[in-house]
Amino acid sequence: MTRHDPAADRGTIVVIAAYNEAAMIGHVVAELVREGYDVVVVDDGSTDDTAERASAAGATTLRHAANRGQGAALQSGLRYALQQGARVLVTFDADGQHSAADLPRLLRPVLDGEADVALGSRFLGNAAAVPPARRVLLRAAVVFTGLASGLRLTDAHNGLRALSRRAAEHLDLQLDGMAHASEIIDQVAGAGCRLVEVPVNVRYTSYSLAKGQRLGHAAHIAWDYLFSKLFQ
Amino acid sequence: MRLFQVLALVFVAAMFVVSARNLLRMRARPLASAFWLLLWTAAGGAILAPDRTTQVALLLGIRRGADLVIYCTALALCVGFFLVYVKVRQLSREITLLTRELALQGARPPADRALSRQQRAGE
Repeated sequence: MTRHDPAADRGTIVVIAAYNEAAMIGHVVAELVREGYDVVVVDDGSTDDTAERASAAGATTLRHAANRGQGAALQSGLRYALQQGARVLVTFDADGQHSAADLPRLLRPVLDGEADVALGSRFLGNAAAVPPARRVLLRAAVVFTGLASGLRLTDAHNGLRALSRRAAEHLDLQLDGMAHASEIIDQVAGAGCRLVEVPVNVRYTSYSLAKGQRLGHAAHIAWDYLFSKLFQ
Repeated sequence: MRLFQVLALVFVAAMFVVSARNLLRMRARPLASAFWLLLWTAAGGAILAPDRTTQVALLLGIRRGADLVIYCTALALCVGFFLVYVKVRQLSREITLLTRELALQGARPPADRALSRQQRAGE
């Protein structure tokens, strides 16, 4: 595993939104901290000891008094990271699907100034492990994002992203739930930020699949996003 | 006049007075108040002279006044649900903003800063 060089990261903060992730959050945070990253975990109103385990593993923690959704939690974390002077911000999932080993590759275009936003894509790498049902949903998300934002992406709903400070400052997520993924792309693209996709690995476990999105969620995400575009 | 008409008119008159007071005391937006005043006036007219609704319905290509009232009620309910839904989303947004401010004020460093430094050093 390539060790992250804190001296070269120029102020990188990893933001993790977590809801009832006590089983995994300690491992996720510990892996990132071992690699030298500063980690902020936003506990989105968990009813277990997610925040305590994240803190014990080395993360700064923020706690939402009520569960507001992943989009809301990420926006809180991004805002905190900006207040701390972060020059590069990373969003990272709490369920163990993402790997800290992918961060150097993800950060490279942003650190080198080639892009403002680097989006992780499981389909640019080895996508054989993506379960069929999940693959269909993710493809639908790609089509939907393409129609909504005009961008051609291979993986529109991957939670692993690196944003420059400039890109993060343009974000003001209005959608608290899972539709934030489309909203992030919409807002950074609308602000003229340069986007690139970077191959990343996604680890599927029974735990992460149980927590993942379903078809019913997809319909709600689409509705949430479209309503906000039309009426907000 | 039938008992139902009397009771319904009393209700409509009371709602008209409430809407008028809200408008005069600037408690509601003028456009919204005007809408409600118009609505209660139309409701009062339909209750006082139900046969007139048939004349209005025929003008609109609807056979019966009762059908016109039902269609208007259904439309009003749809608009009402929509406005409530928008309001709920707005309130939800405000709750999120409040929750965020509280979370930012209560940010906590890692449980053991020294442990974090050790972990980074790979000890």
